[in-house]
Amino acid sequence: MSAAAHLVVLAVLFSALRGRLLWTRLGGLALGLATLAGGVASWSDTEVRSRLADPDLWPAVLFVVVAGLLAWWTMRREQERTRPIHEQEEPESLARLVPLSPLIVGGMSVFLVAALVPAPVGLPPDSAVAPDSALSHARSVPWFLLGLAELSRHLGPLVAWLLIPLAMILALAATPRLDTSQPETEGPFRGRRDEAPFFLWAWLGLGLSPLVVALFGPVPNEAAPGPALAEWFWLDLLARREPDLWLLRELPGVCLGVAVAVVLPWILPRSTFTRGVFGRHLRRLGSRRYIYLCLLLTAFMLVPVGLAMRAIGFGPWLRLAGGWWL
Amino acid sequence: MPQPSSIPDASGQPATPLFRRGAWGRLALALLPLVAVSGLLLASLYRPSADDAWWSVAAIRGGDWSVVRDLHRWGGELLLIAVWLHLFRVFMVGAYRRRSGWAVSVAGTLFVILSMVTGWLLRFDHGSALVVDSLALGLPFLYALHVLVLPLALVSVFAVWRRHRASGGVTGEKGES
Repeated sequence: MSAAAHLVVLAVLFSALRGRLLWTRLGGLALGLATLAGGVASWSDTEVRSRLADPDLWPAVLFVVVAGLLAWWTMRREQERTRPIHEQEEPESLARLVPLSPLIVGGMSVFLVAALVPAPVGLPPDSAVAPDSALSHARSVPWFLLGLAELSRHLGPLVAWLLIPLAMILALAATPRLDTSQPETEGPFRGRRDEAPFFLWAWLGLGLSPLVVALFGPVPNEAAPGPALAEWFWLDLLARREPDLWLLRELPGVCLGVAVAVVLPWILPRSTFTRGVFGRHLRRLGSRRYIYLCLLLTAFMLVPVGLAMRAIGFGPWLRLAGGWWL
Repeated sequence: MPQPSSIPDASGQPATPLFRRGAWGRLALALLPLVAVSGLLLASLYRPSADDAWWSVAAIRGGDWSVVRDLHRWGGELLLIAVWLHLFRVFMVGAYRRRSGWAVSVAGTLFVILSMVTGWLLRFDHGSALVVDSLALGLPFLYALHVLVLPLALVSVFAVWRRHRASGGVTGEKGES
């Protein structure tokens, strides 16, 4: 269920990103009501309720709410700017509803929270008391790593704790170099209709959605059917125990990743379905920056591909493919 | 003189307090001294050894300095949220085209995240102790990272930001920082 929930969140984000409906007042109202309904539904689950009662995780809820609001607000403004003047809605009046400076609000809230909520210290390290199974996932890492911990359950530690964070850092560092629009054009979509949705989806989809699923999703342990690629390769295919050396153990995945990273940039500008967008990227960015973009894209696509393979049952699918090849 | 909430940002539309340019960055800068000073006060009470770490934290919580720890902890959490949202907003408005400002924002965010991770590991509770043991990193090493290396890195980032800002090199979105 958890992998499927991830995929649903990712699919909604991806499909809604370039549409206009979500960024209107009506869309915002619908989104708010849907979020409220999701919150109520989550609250009815005892495990989720216990999870959200943990002060350790309150900053995560705050972050999800404010980041979601910020994303919606900015997208709405950008969509409004690209519409003809006579079709634009009236300027918003949220400023009048929230008249205080965030500096004052933020500073005061820290003192207020510190006065009211003692910061948790957790269980002692040598505690014999095992954490509640429903909460162990949430409490095993701090809230800002919950998303990666959630991905780790579906994609394995190598991808979730190494490749994805590395790709995020590279994407952040590369953002100014991959955006080739003119300096006077500003805004998420203006002049960068190809790059910006990709990065925004990567940010929201990969940064926020695993956190949402980890916080509000069902108890996760039932959600990872099928073996990881390394397990399938060593245990099922070669019928031998997995090597202790992690690099050797993960070698099938590493080889597959390198192969995809090399082949994908070559195929994308040539295949029928992707020739338009990626051919344009290749012309605009030049080969060096284009390959860099493709590597980032490959790394980011690991998440939905990995989740989908987990959701449909990775082992039987790979065995079928192995039967064909071998 | 226009009201602050009606000052238009680069898009030409009124900015709201939550999304006003530089709001999250300024909040992060305001929280840094709070977190630093409370951390300095706590440093004399914390003992970075596997046997004593959690108990010293528990003693702080149960003692007179509890509120200082609360300020350090919750201030750090809000600092992390503020730098993330600042970076997100800079991205959303396209202000990353000023590469030096973007590099400062990214580096600052990474250092804050690393500070939060090392701070969580230093708590050495049931969850973080497992990670510290599996990483084979000693608490004194993590302590040095948390109280010396990462704060110095953050101060360096702040100094670079000040220098670029003084020379007008950081501002991307007409004042975005």
